[in-house]
Amino acid sequence: MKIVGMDTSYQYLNIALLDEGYVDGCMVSCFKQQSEWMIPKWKELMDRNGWNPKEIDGIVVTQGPGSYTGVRIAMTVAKMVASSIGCKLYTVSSLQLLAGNCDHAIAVMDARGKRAYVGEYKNGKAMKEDCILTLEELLAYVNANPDVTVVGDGHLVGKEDVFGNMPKQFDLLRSEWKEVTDIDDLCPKYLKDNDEYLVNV
Amino acid sequence: MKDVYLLAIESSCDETAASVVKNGDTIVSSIVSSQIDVHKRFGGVVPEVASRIHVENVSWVIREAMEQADMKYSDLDGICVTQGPGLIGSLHVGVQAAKTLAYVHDLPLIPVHHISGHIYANQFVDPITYPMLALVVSGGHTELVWMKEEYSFEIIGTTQDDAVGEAYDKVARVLGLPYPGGPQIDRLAKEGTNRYPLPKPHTENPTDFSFSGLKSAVIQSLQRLERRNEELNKADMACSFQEAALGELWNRVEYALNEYKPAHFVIAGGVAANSRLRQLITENMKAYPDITYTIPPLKYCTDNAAMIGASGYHAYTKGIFASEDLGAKPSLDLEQVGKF
Ligand SMILES: [Zn+2]
Repeated sequence: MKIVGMDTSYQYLNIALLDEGYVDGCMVSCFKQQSEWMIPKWKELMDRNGWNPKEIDGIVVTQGPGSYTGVRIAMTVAKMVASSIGCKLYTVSSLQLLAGNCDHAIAVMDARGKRAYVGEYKNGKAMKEDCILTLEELLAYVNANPDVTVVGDGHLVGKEDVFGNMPKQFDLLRSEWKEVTDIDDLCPKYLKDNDEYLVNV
Repeated sequence: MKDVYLLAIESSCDETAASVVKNGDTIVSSIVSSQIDVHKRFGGVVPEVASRIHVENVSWVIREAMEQADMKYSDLDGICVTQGPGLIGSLHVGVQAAKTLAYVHDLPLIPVHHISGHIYANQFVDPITYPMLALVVSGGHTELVWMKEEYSFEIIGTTQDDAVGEAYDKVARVLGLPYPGGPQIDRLAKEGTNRYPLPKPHTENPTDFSFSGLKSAVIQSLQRLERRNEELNKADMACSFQEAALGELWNRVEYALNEYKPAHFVIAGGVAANSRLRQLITENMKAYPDITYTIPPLKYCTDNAAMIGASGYHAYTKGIFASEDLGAKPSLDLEQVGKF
């Protein structure tokens, strides 16, 4: 089973080639350049491992939350591959990918506007729904859980930033992949509503 | 020569569209998913909302275009995509989809300028002869484009302020008409008479346009009526505005026809669907029996992907291909198209 993992939801472009286990991957820091780098980097990995894109069995993609434009990049690629070659499609949360299979983690991603996307994961399993919190709420939440590791943008709560080997983490989360039944229906989870944009009109 | 089949993808604004075009002049399939009902709620296109809907639509619109054409990817000769101009977030979705398909199915990737697509939509009606003059009119563009030969674009006139479609939308708003305003004004104008005096805009260059003065004049005229407690006849105002705006378009076209002497004249873009503009062009072109003129079918005036396939065919025959790091360009320059 040849599976390709893709994530462009935040500042990295993460791509993983997975077969029985982890085969190869890349984690490139290219915030706002993911659209340009996505296909060349993927192609490089595929060629290096002698994989043909028409022969893959599935794609696992992050569904958000994260940068709006970023989340849409990998998702567009994933939907087009799955719908044009008819392979399987799976999703994981981008916060879940950040947490990987860490014993117990609070995954944090800067959502700008003094807010953060936050998820809590135990060995890859969601302890609560991903959500968006103000930085004050986040700090209170982290302080109330002193034994839980903070991964991602730790600096938002005065801790270190922690970004693990995200391509590999796709593999560690295998049991958590959600299969997409209707590829056309799949869309990102932004956690912020459309109606927010009414004010801009 | 072997037939050339191209899949084209367009997502520059608020339509997600895909089409299979044969030899640049025959539409094999064309799917357009409009977001207009969503944007009506907001009174205009909201970029973030448009991008979100493109991601929701992209896979089924493209698959439907392939299914209606009864084609497999291995039957295609290339993938065309609108690279710009347009809304960055919207363009990203189409460009990413096209790059993915080009890589996975090992097909050449062909970047297309949105406006070149509007112009070449006329190819579905008549073969294009050169030199050609094109009047491009839409919500975002008002341009006179000179094409001395195939796939060569020179902008000889442009708007100094608002695009004509934008002026229509703004005037419709002050008249209390729903979005999108262009078709509303066109419809209402048919019931009115041209009796409100509106000024003629002035531009330095005789082929340039200006519409903001006309829009302000309509607003001032409404305020004057209100001060005098006179009732506004919306249909008459719609008619007066439309006659003034379209009259201005024609004045510039007439100057350019006399000055540049093209073999072919075409109109292109969303406002080319305006019934009064179509009528005006048809009437006025009687004075130019030596110039072929083409008005695109209504369906191919507004944004669609077939037009991208029509233009992309010329890029294909000229060997203009992009690599897989192609980026969306929200302000892509038309005059650079076809140049290396
Ligand atoms: Zn257009």
